[in-house]
Amino acid sequence: MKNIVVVVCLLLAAATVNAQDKFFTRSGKVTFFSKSDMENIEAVNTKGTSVLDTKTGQLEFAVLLKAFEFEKELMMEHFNENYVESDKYPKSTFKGTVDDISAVNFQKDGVYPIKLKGQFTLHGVTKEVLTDGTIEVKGGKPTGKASFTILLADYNIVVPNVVKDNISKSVKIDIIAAYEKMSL
Amino acid sequence: MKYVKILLVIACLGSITGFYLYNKPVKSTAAKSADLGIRSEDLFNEFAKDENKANAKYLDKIISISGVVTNIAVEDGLNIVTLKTASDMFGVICKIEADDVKVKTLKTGDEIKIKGVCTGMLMDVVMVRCVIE
Repeated sequence: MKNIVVVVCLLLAAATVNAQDKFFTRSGKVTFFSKSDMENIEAVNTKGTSVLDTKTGQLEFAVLLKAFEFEKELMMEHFNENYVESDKYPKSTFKGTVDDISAVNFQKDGVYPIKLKGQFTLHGVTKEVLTDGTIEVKGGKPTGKASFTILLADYNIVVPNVVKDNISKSVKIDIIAAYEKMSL
Repeated sequence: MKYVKILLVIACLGSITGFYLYNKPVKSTAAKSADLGIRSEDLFNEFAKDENKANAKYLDKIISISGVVTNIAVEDGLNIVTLKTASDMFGVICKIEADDVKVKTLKTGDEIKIKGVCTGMLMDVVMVRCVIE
């Protein structure tokens, strides 16, 4: 009986320690820009979820493509129906790690440069992505920022000839995630 | 000569319409009617049980959701209302449109109806362009 109590206590302790290393957000912001001579297209999604493990550096990020908001209705329609086919592939995800996470002191306020490496999935295609970013610690809460550029062709996204001057071949993606401590 | 003038007028009208359609802003949900109605608990359960099936049924649809408010937050100047589900941690998150006035008097625990566009499930079910009915 005593043993069981000890084991349960240890397990609880382990679980607490584990949770303490994990940070979470459900309001991660993803913006993408397509810049071309004809027009600039920008869309924002503020409902991305992300989990960051400050011990291992593991980071996951996911967004629903239909939650991207555009200025023009036609842009939104084309984005969802023709380019990312969000009925078939509703999510885009990033799963990766922050290189050398121990260089970030989560107890001390400051801006820490990071290198991010992982698998980015969009339109059913997964590719390796490498990028630089920062983690800003303020009052014990980290905010992660990163941006990277993807080529639409890499993700089997075909832009019809008619609008090929309106849409850039490469799209810049900006990510900001303000994390909160994960509570059990 | 007369035909040329008529053609010119048609061409002008055409390009104006085209320009207008091309630049049309995203239409407010308030002006659209709901495709279906459901309780927040049931919607979440359907997604938790079989995401693909729920995606086919609800994605892009305008849904009128009834439920109990568990949280109200402001992010980037927009109100985010969370509706209750059977899960303690996850809910139905509704991003309320900027011009909605009813959200200002909303309190946690209120039973309400929200109309919005379903975008799918991450850990929570996410609704965008919502208005409070």
